[in-house]
Amino acid sequence: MTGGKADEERARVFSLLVANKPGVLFRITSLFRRKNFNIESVSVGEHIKEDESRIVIGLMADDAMANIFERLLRKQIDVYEVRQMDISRAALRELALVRVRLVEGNGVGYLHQLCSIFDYKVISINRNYATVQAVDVPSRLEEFLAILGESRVKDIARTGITALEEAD
Amino acid sequence: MTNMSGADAIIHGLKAEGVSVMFGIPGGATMPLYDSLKDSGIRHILARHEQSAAHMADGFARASGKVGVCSGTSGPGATNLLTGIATAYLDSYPVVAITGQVARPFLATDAFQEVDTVGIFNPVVKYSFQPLTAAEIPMAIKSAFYIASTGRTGPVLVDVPKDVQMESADMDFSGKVDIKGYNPYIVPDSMDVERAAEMLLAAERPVILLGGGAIKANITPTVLAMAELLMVPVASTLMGKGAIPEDHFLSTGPVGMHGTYHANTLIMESDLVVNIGGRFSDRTTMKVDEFTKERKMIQMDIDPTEAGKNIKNAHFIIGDLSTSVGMLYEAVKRRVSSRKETPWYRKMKELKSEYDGKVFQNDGPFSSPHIVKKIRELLPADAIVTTDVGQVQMWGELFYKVLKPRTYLTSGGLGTMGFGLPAALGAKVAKPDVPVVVLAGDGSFAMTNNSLATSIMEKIPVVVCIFNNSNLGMISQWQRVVYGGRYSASWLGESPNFSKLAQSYGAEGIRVNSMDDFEKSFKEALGREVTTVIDLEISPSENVYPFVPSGNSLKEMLTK
Ligand SMILES: Cc1ncc(C[n+]2csc(CCOP(=O)(O)OP(=O)(O)O)c2C)c(N)n1
Repeated sequence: MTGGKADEERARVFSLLVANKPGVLFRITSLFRRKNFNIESVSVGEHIKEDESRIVIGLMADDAMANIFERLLRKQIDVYEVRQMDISRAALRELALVRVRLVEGNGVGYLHQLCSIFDYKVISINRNYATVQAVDVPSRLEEFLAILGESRVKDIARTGITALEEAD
Repeated sequence: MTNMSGADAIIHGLKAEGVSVMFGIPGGATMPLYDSLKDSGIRHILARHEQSAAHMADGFARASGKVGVCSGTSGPGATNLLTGIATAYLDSYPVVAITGQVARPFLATDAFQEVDTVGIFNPVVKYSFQPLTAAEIPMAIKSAFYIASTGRTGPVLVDVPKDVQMESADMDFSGKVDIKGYNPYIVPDSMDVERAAEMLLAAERPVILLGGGAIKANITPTVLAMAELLMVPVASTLMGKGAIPEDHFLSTGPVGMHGTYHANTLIMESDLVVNIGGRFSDRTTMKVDEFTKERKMIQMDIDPTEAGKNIKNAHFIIGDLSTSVGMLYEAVKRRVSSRKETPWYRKMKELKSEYDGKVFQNDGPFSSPHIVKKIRELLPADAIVTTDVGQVQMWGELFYKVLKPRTYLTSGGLGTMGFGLPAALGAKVAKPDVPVVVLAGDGSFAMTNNSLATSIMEKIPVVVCIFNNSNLGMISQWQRVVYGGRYSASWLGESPNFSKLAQSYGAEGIRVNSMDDFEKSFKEALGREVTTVIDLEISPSENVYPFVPSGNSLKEMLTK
């Protein structure tokens, strides 16, 4: 964890290694419910061994709250490992699929340019819509969406962040 | 490998765990289980409400140190169990609850008597299992007992769909429990222990505070030896009551909202608290900043997640208390051989001689504090007392001196009214040779008195003393003391007539209103082979003192 005052809310990323079986995600998310707390993002995927999953949870919390969650998470039998990530030392990405409305005039060409600046990809297209695949840090993704403008975004699916701490 | 049904496998598994008794009520989704139970050799005790079945299992666990087992059918059977399971959870006692569930094809269809039992129980169990094939049952049962009874003990749920109970499979009972991510055996760090020993010896005014964990870990002799060597006062929480005999010269009795005057005073004047197996609950510490101010804390606990939970600045020693406290005692012994009376000890002695057993509000000879003291006088040391919740529980806390661990069973964490009678039945099943007495409230008793039927039918005699003030007494006390006498919904009236109620169940029932009558009927009750309900007519205006209202520090006790 980095700097900041203890009682200041800031972005946290919990990285968990858990049992890959039914009910585990429910048990974990219900811990946050106890404090009536809104998780900003959760991503889950199988880990190296197939009986384990990596769960990455993003949320805004002050130190006290973060510590409560860390304790509750550690208490779970199905949670093997709990880490509060040092965000400054982690690779942190989110995947978004954005359906973009193509408009006459600045349609395909404009989108293409924008995507190449952001290093995103158009993965499918028809007369009316293009689907953009974006892998990025959330702040840059927000910027992309802002430039594009709300009226051009028909739909969006975001995975929420996932992260891996740098190895020494 | 033996081929058998899932239901048979449950029973087989229970027997392999040494289970001899189970408390419950059957239903549609447990018909196969109950069919296998018949003639199994496991004694089934039929409750009249599943909450009581869970309390019975819990009382059995508390009194015996073994795992208690209870069962309910799907839907309402399970939801009725919930309060009892939550009670066991908050006091960390090992109970395995086996619930029936609708058949697999009906899961998540709002089928008859379907609720998501695993989902509902999740926050109040240590773990849950829902075997979805019969072959999973042997390991589920084994693991359930293992998890319930190791580490910080607690309840575990096993929810079994009806068709899984009926399905046959080749069952393997030889597997070893290996639960990844669950390592209850944590070795205490010897450096942590050495440091604690130094803190303890450097302290001028130390207090040892025993929580419920101290009872579970069977550390009475070690704690006593260490306390005597250092001449340290030993207090307890409500849950730790009886971890050392409360008639010991170093015992101060409990601290907390309704702790003894001298225990609360001493702990607030101490410079070090050695908390063994307690969680610094809000009812123990009261205003927590005041509690931690100007004193050091050592916290010894088996549950690593207790570190920093309620108190930030404690020196934490993790591990099984029987190991860690043993290590601490050794470390202390290496540093000191004998110790004389300290000024601190003399201070304790003075306070104790003034306040031990002191009745702050005396409502005459036939009032609750005196009755509780009388009960202690008339009971042997190993008798078991269970309590309901409310004033009566606090009179017990203050005036009933517990002489042996596991002989004072009370719902401390959840504060569940109605715990007393069913827990007493469970305790009596565990310890048939000792008298079991319930300190009941008229409000609490009304919640689970149907367990009298169980007591009669199953021949489990206990003595129920109802402290009958025609009130939800604790509520009316708060309304009197804190809410300026505005009584709201705390008057219970005079219904039912409890002695007649008891008689209608086939128990003895008697109403008394003098100490002589009480003593006589209590003695008779102890000699009886059938449950006796003694309805004690006490004043509705009694208050329990000392009393630390919420928000106050332990120093700020009300005594009148
Ligand atoms: C199930 C449940 N409901 C409500 C409460 C709140 N409560 C705490 S003490 C109390 C009064 C208990 O009355 P009684 O059993 O008569 O005991 P008394 O206080 O009179 O000794 C109540 C209602 C509770 N602890 N448990």
